[in-house]
Amino acid sequence: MDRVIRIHNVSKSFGGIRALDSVSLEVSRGEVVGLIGPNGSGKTTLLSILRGIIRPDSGRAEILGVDVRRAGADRIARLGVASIYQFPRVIRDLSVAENVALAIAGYLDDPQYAELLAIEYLKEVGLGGKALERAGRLNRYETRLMEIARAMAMRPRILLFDELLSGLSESEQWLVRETIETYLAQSGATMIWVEHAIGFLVESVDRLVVLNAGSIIADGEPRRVIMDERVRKAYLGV
Amino acid sequence: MAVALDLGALASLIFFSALYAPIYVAISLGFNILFSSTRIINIAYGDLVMIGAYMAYWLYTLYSIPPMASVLVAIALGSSIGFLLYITIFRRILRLRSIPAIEEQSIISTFGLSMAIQGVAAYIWSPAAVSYTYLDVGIRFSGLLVPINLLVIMAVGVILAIAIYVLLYRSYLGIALRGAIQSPQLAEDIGLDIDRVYMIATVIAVSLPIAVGAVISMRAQISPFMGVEYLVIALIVTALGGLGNPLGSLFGALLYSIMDSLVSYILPPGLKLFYLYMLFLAVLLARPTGIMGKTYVVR
Repeated sequence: MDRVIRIHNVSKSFGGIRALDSVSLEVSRGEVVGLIGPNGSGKTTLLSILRGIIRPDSGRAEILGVDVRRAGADRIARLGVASIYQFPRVIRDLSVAENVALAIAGYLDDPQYAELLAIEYLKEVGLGGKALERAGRLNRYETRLMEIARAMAMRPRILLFDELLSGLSESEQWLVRETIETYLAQSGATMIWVEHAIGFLVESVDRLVVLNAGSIIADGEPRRVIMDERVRKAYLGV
Repeated sequence: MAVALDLGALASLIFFSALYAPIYVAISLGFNILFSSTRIINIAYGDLVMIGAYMAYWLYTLYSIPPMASVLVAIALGSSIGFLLYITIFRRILRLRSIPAIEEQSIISTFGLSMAIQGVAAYIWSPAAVSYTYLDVGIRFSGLLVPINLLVIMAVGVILAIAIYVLLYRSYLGIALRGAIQSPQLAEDIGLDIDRVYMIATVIAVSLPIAVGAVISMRAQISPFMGVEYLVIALIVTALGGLGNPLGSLFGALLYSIMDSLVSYILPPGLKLFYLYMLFLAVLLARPTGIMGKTYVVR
């Protein structure tokens, strides 16, 4: 199987704190990987390295065959990597449709068509009715849906989602999860999904990876991983 | 009677100052767009106005090319200078990727650039001021004699401001630029070619002051050192109108031109700059992002 993400012996420190310690991970095309771990275990650092936002101190990370050290965040995005961050990112003064249309700029040089296409993506996530509103007026749930539509609009080959569900009610989490699962089934995209809601991940992902203190302590079939003694001790405290 | 006369004089002062408002909008837009999108503080901004003024002066005195036509030449020249400035200086500064470092380095670099431009200009054209007359005849407007060249300056200011408005708010490039202004990191993260967006912002921010210089040359004393005044105007109008808010420049320019006329009327000419600097400081202290400024998460 094609490996679309290859991380080999990657380490990263911030000051005296070792955020990642010789982490190695490979992800195959179409695989949906859940990444869990206690706060400060290095999950966001790992995603940030894959996004090209921060550089590893040592080791090598490749995404879609490109060394992340040599590519900026914009180039990685144009390769087909869409990200959603822990804290919603929205260009508040643009309309909801314009926010999504921006993501289409990478491959379509037709503003009017891009905006129409953006509205179609918004309809897919149930936000068609808000397309012309200012994005700054959306609530958190709607903002998350807009971010999902924006990620879809990039026609991504890889999705990197970081605590997408935090701050949402349980019913909203279910709706978001359903939207993502439908999209993944249709697109065949690869995904790394960082989330604290382990119950959701166990149901949604093919594989679960557990980070603790900057190292991977478990990796495999989700139900087996959450029963792993080291995981229960490190992550669940039992 | 004396009060009525004074009010009349004040009203005409405000009227004449308001005619300059559109060109002040155009001046501040270039500064605002570059700073808001890249955090580059271009201290050589006023010197670009000077380059435009000299260009129009020479085109008119040597080839009888009217200043309005020089505006088009200015935009072409500005685009080339903007491109060169971007690839030689600004792009390198932006690679620092830290707002304080970008601001600090841009101030130092463009201060040096400003000195160099002024030095070269003084060497080539001599430090003495020059001027020329073009359309320097008045037409009656509500009892006031308004110079035609002042109306032309106002009209060009309106056209430039509308062109920038259309670019920012009605085009895809504008959406990308506004996106980059509000959140460079997000713009990068969704795959926008941020390098290209910054280059375009630089080209706009260099073309505008050169175009403004070409048109205001009709009513200015043109000298290698004239740029300082326009840098100060750009700073004050941008601070009043609000950083990160191109539309705020309209408000800032109107406020500046009215304050300018009031201060000219009330205070001795020698204290005018002092008063305006105080106004500038007061705005920055009370509201660092400007009266209509917006606080964005950047980088």
